[in-house]
Amino acid sequence: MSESRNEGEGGGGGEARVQTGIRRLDFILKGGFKAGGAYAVMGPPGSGKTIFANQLCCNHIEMQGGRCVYMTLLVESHAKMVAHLSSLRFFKQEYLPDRLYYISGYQEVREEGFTGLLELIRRTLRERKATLFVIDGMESAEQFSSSPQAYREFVHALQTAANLLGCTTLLLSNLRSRSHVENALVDGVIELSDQLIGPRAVRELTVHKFRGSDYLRGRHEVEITNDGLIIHPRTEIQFSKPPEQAREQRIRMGFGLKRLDEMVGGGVPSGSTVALVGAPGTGKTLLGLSFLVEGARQGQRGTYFGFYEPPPRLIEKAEDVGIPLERYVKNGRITLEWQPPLEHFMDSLAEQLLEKLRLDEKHTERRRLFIDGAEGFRAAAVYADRIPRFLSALTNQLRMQDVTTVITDELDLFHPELDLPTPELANVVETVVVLRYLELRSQMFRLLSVMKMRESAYDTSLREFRITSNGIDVAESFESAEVLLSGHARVRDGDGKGRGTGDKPPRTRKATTRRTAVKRAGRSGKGGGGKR
Amino acid sequence: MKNILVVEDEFDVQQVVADVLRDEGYEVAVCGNGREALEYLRKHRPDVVVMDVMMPILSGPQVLEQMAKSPELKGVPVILMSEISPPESEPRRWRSFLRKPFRLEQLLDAVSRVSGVMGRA
Repeated sequence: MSESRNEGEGGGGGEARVQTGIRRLDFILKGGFKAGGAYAVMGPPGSGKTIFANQLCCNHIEMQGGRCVYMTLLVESHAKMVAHLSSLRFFKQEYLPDRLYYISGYQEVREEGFTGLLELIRRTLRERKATLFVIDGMESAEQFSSSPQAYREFVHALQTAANLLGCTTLLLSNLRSRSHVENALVDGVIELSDQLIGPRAVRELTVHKFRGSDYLRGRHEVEITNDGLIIHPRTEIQFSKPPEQAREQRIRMGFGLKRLDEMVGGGVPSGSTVALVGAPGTGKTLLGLSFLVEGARQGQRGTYFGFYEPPPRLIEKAEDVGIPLERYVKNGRITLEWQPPLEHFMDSLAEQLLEKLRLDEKHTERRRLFIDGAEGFRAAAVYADRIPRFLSALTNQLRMQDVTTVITDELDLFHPELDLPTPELANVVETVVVLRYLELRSQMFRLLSVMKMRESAYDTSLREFRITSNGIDVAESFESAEVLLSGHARVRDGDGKGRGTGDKPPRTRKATTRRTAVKRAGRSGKGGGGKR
Repeated sequence: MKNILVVEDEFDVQQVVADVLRDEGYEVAVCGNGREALEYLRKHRPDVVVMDVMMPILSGPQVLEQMAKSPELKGVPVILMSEISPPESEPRRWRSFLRKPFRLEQLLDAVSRVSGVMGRA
């Protein structure tokens, strides 16, 4: 599987590997642990070390027919451990005692020292024909060492014996320094952490060392569920080496709104990403849904991925303004993926989205995606500085999959400038459409403009648009917007022509509107057609 | 006074079980693995063996197998203890089974029943 997939098997370089079976960890380790290697797994209490090791044992039995010995050194009693593990789906009691064998080595090391413990380990591994060996509680063993050198010799002898027996070994311990003697000797070091970042408790996995193989560096979010540990590799590192563009044949993908589509040359190019930015209530969600419905009309598949409105509300909202969403949801042309606004993992959201789209890959039709909105990812981010790289990786990946994406981002309701909450979004998308309010004579008007469009000519004018029960109506020309901005308000007819209100405001009265300066990284948006 | 042999590799479990039995007036010997238990059994004949299943070097069932082959150990009653119930297919060489984690009363009840002692030893 290529590196751009997040369920990769990885390349083991021809060596035998012990697959962990832990979701996405094999992708991080490029295939799993090396057979016969010794690996330190360290972390504070509660970080998931015991679950991790038992999950690895059970998966090793299930996937590779392995045999496991799990030795504890004055940690949780076996009875308690089994009771706790029994609630997890991977744990099968029928593995005990034949394939998964729990023993304690504490008394041996206490009474016989390292020599006795090594003999006990060697004999047990041979007798049980073990292919995977776990020692849980290495710090207890270290307590009995007469010197750091004695402990070093013990770890070295243990590795040698296990390697000779072809047995992969995990050494579990509480958090210790990176330079700890044990970490210097083993083939790999994995840290499981559990920390409070603001109000959130965040578990992470970091591979600090992995001899003889590439691996995904840095911190990766960890979830502990009834399925055990689930790892979410950082999106930006998963897709750091994207493959070449998939499709060359690009077509225009319209919104189904005649005049808006005219403004963007008949639609946005397929495989590109559009940012719809605007204050709450300006119509971003409806425009996005209109984009999906227009695709469905043309036989294209569409996915809504949102955080705030559950599917029934969304359908009701669309139908109220004449967007026939329900029929396309019912016939399966459009799927609605709603994530309730709870505490999410940003990378997990990206995985859900990309995996959902991957399931649709078997269909040959063009695909459309509407992400409502970018703030859902922002809220899930533990580290805010990851957002630009994350969005860049995600949008790149969507391009690779030839998915045409509309993503909304929310502007402040009461703010004099177009201050993008995610300035980087403007850089990673090809097109930016801005929706804004204008207040005039106790009335709210909506204006729409295309701020940026790569690889295409586009109409730079501001257009007034309305949301009525008959749909979204974008003005035919910029005149109505011009009139509004000048303060000389006229109300449009249904055909888009202006007519006088009969109540001409005094010249001195000006409409209050947002300034058009857009704060964002990179160059400020300039009007005029871009390159074709 | 009844003699009990406790065979358990988990040090804390071994110590607690032994101490509780001593408190009840039994004479208790302890072993940390199956091999030690067999060595002990060749020299002594306890009234009851309280033995774990998963242990280093020799497991509980392996010790039971050896005991079954030895005429002088064949009749020694064994209370087996484990986190999991023994499979139906396994020959039933034990007198009583205790599922871990067990309560103090369950242990004492099993020992008194198997040793033929009602109440204290």
